[in-house]
Amino acid sequence: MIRREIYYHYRANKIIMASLICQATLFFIFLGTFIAFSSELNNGRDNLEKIYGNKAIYQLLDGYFDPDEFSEFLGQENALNTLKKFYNKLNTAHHFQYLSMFNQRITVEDPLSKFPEIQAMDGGTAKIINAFQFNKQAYDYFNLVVAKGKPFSLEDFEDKGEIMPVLIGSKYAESFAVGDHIVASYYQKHVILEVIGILKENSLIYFNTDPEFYLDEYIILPYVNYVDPKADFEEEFQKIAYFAMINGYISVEIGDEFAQNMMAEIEVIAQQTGFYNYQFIGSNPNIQPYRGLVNVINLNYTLVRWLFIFSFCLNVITICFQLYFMQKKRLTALAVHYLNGASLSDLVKQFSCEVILIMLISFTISHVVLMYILKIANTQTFAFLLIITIVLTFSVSVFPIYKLIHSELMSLLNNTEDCS
Amino acid sequence: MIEPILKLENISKSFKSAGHTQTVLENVALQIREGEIVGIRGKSGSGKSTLLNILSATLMADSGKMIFKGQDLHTVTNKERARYRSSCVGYIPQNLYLLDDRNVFNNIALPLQYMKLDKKHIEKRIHSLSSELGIFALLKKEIHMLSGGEKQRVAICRAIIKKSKLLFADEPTGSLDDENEALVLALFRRMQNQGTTLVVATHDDVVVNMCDTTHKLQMR
Repeated sequence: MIRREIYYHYRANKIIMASLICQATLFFIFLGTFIAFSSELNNGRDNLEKIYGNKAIYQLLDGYFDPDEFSEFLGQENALNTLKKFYNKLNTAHHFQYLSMFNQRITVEDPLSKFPEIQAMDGGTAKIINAFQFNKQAYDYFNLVVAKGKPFSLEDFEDKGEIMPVLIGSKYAESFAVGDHIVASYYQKHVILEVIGILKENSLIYFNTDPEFYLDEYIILPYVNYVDPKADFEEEFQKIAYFAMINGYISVEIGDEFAQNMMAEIEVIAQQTGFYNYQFIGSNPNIQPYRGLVNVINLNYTLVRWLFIFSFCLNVITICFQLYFMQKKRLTALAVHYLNGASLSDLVKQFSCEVILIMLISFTISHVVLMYILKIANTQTFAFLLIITIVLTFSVSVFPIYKLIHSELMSLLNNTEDCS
Repeated sequence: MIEPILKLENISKSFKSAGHTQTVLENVALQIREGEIVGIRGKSGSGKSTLLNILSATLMADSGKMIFKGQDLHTVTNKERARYRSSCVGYIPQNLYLLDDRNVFNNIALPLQYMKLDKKHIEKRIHSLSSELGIFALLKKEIHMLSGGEKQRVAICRAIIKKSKLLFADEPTGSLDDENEALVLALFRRMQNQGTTLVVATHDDVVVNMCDTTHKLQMR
């Protein structure tokens, strides 16, 4: 019965129904966009808080700027041992976190052209692609999430010979699968990169001066703790690799006491390992802009939140009044139903189903638009959108239902004679 | 003595309008016996339609009792009142109020659909009664295509399609020509013979003459 009545009602009010569905759909699309944007802002703010909230970041560099000095150091018999010890002690320090990370390009063999053409080298199948390396602490620090496969675990940072487990950015998700192998040249060493996971889209970190350094087009390599080399070539490779690994960032709590403890501990590490030629580049310059950035994000967030509230209220009011006036117009028809055996609860049910159907259609269309056309929404967005849909359905129905229940339906049929 | 099927005791009803209260019915008492045709007369504004609405349980009185089969319909639940309207009452409102979002067939089918009868049963009943009222050919027509008299017969057909025990009619012959009036009154008489009780609010002397009992409402 309700289905039939909804059909008649929709057929008789095609234009109004279509306009209501359009309005609700647009509202949901805007809302979904707001939620996605707001969620991004929130994540950005949280990540910034996490990285820079009450942290001082220092950059640690080796002091071998002079090529001759550099060559002389590398020529020393125990150079590799010194670098390894220095790196390992930094990783196990008590008074600071050592974040070793670096982006560089590596050469890969790409016989099936899975990487974009723009990265191809002249001739052959080799291509140069972006790679980013982390030590375990830096990887954990940014809390990166994989969409497929598994994230790095402690054992992935151990030496596995020529096999190196890697994560790939979301841009390559369609070209590669978990378990695929990529032949690469890493500091001139032949390695086989084994894909163990694919990062979630829009994975980002805070690197150098960029607070939103996206990893979507990167291959993520672990900074491996290598076993002792068995050949000269292997030793040279490890020296270069460890030199890169001891250039990184140091994160400590803000405060003189923390900074002094950190510097004292590094000095102790230097004494213990024999690596004295290091430098700090003060406090990370991101710290100052960070405060401005957080303020901007907070302002944006407040603006978005007000826009959302304003838009919600405006839509509730307009949809509610459209429904109310539409219902007022057909109260007489509802009275005829009442007269012919419908109960008030039948009429309320019928009205509720009409509104629910409008909202469901709108929600479904907006879901398709957000998911497949704009591609900006995730499960969290839809869950929130669904809650808003339910709240909106309820909000726009209350007033018309209240008026329906409290209208003396039959007085509408009483024509001119009695109470009308 | 035949027991009344419907009994009103001290029924009062007033309406609030533009800041003042207008009493339409005051302490009305009425007994309607099964199988009777009861006429309700009175000037415009005397409360005839209000009385029919109360009798059909579509409007609640402010006070008093309306007893149907030993039960006061003012004290039962909304659902039970809806069941009373759906299964026992047919109503022909003065202004007909046909639904213009559907054709004649579906207008007539409305009360049967609320009774949850199956499609075949509905079709059978409608075809039979519409033939009797001379509107079979109109079944597929939209409401806006009908003349005043045709609309009146469609409204009557919808009201009596349920074969309810009680039929309330508000000026049922108001827009009918003599020929159609005679047709409708003959139908009423046949319904009476089949056991239906009719309550008719009317100004029409022809209708009054066929009533077993007539009550007159005074202006308040």
